[in-house]
Amino acid sequence: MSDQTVAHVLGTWAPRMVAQGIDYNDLVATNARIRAWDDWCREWCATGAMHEELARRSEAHGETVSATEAYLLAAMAYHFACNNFTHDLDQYVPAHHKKVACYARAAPHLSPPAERHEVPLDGLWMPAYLRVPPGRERPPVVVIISGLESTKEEHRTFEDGLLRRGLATFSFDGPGQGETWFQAGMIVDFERATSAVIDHLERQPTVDADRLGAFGPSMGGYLAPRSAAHDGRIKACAVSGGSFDRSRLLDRLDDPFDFARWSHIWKVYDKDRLADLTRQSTLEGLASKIRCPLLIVHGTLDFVPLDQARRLYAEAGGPKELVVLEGGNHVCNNMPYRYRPLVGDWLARQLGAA
Amino acid sequence: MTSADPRVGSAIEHWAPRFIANGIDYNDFQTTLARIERWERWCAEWSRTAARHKQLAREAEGRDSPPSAGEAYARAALCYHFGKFLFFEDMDQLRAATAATARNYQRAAPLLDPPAERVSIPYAGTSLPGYLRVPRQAERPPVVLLLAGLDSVKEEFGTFEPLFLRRGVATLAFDGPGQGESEFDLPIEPAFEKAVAAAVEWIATRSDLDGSRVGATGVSLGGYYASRAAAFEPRLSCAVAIGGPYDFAEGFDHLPALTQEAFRVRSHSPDLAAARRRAAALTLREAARRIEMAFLIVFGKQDRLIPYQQAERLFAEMPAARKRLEMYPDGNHVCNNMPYAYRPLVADWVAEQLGAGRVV
Repeated sequence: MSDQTVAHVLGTWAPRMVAQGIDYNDLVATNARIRAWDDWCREWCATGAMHEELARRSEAHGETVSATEAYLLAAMAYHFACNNFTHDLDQYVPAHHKKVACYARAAPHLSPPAERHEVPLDGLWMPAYLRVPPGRERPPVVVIISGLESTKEEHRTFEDGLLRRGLATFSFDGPGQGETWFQAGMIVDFERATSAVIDHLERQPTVDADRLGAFGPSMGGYLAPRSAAHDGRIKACAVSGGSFDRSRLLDRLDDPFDFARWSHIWKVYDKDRLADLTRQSTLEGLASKIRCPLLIVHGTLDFVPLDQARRLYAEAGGPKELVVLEGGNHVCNNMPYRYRPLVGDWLARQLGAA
Repeated sequence: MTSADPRVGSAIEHWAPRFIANGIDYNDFQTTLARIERWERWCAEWSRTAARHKQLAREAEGRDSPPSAGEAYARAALCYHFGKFLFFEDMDQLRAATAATARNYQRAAPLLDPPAERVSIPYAGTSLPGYLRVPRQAERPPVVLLLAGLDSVKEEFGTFEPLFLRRGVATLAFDGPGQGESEFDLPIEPAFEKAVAAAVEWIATRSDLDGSRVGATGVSLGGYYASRAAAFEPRLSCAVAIGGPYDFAEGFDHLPALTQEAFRVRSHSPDLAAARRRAAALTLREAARRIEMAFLIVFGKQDRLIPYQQAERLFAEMPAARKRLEMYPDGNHVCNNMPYAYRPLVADWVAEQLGAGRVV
């Protein structure tokens, strides 16, 4: 496999794929079938279809537990099939729909179940999943804000860690993400989406929205502090691999690979307009308005420069903590056992999960 | 991933999927292997990785997080285990890593969900240490015995157990003769049904378990043990053999050198010739035709340790009315290169045979 894009994608994201639930053997076997980047989406879909078939067979035998596990593997394979593949929507869109459908089959049977919600925002509706730890009376809740090209279905293994610590989880597709992308692209003032989610959670009797936290990995690590700066109802905010200022990426707009990904989420295909939106995507003047406790985790090998994390730490206006993990890659997904317990324990403590 | 030392290369080639399937972090596998140039460093480097997880466990205890501590101690135990699973260069290192495996898992056990209770099964004037895990909200659940193989231990079942637990089946994993904490006192026992009988009797003393519904699932050489138990222990209701041999001596000379050495050490044989003679006792030639209980064989046709024909032979010879052979064309030894295929299958089958109520 000599294709540069394939090598780049695997070099950057293979640990993330495994951390989010891709089976190691699927990674090995699927990659062995991929000779060029053009094969990527098709081959990962083939792996997804294999698991979907196993799921259907288990379903036919009434073996719900097995079917659920197989649907999750299928959903993750379809998810990473479309990841980074925005330049070919003829392949991307069907894979996306299969991801959504497979995860929806698994959702009611997860432990605890994932309940589908739809959050209104200016005529849009943002699909989401709420999971509540069993045996807890109105537990605190953590809103998980996805990064670039991530969606509500990708957070299941992370959610499990929060649930074990007594925290409910709410993962949603904001503008430009997952199912909501089909209605609208990314918006500069993403905090409006987060606030709509909080409005929605305040109406849920099963969780305590007075004890609400936010977690953002990757670009979600820019969107989450941005939301915390605007909405004081966020009582604790944690980020991993986040950024302060997206305008640092302006020079990469000439790279066809990155241009395709960014123009896709914004649904803006004009380079000048995209540059303008990217320039506006900054915490400049906002970070000081963050009053809630903030945990910033960043790996020394993250392609997002450590300076971005340091600047957020320097300018945040409330209690704050910066944890730099030596050798950590983007989001520290090459050491999930380091950042995930850290973030989970910190959120549980800040939000008073017993 | 390649290595200059053929013994390291062989371990990577044969065992990577197993390590990951049984809970070694994908990144730990890569970074630890990258540090190992010669086989002599194998145990030391895995122990270094283990020590890091132990440190994380201590930090988690410091911030009073039982889930984080439990997971980190379990990872430490597993790294120590794989550090010595086939490492016989230095018996002091093997002993130290064996003790560290047991100690770290013991710290993890009460913090797991559901917890693992350390138990002691009376056996032949001594006892076999084990871990019992009981599914939440299950009233007197059935139990599956998890039987490890030649180079495995009770602490290696951490990722397999949840599949049974989710289906309402309690799990009992223990170190039998030749395994883990028992291996220094008790050599490999060809008549492993004796150890299974001890476990069945111990289960009967527990009012919270249904001793009339007990099955056995054996992995690799444990598949042979499960077959022995099915032949000679009628108090079992069903058994599963995953990647188990029919006759261990038959392919002995074709086994990798490390595997032969594992058998020599754990059968307490002075040399390979003696080990080969002892291996001859591990056969189902008499036992197979006595297997009448429900029996499931799982095997991978690409198994490079045990020829798949041994599974076919076992299947053909057993008179059990309810028998099933699941042969995966692409499966490796124990099919650990497709855990998502064989594990749910085994867990569903066992739950059905034992009439387990599903836990939601």
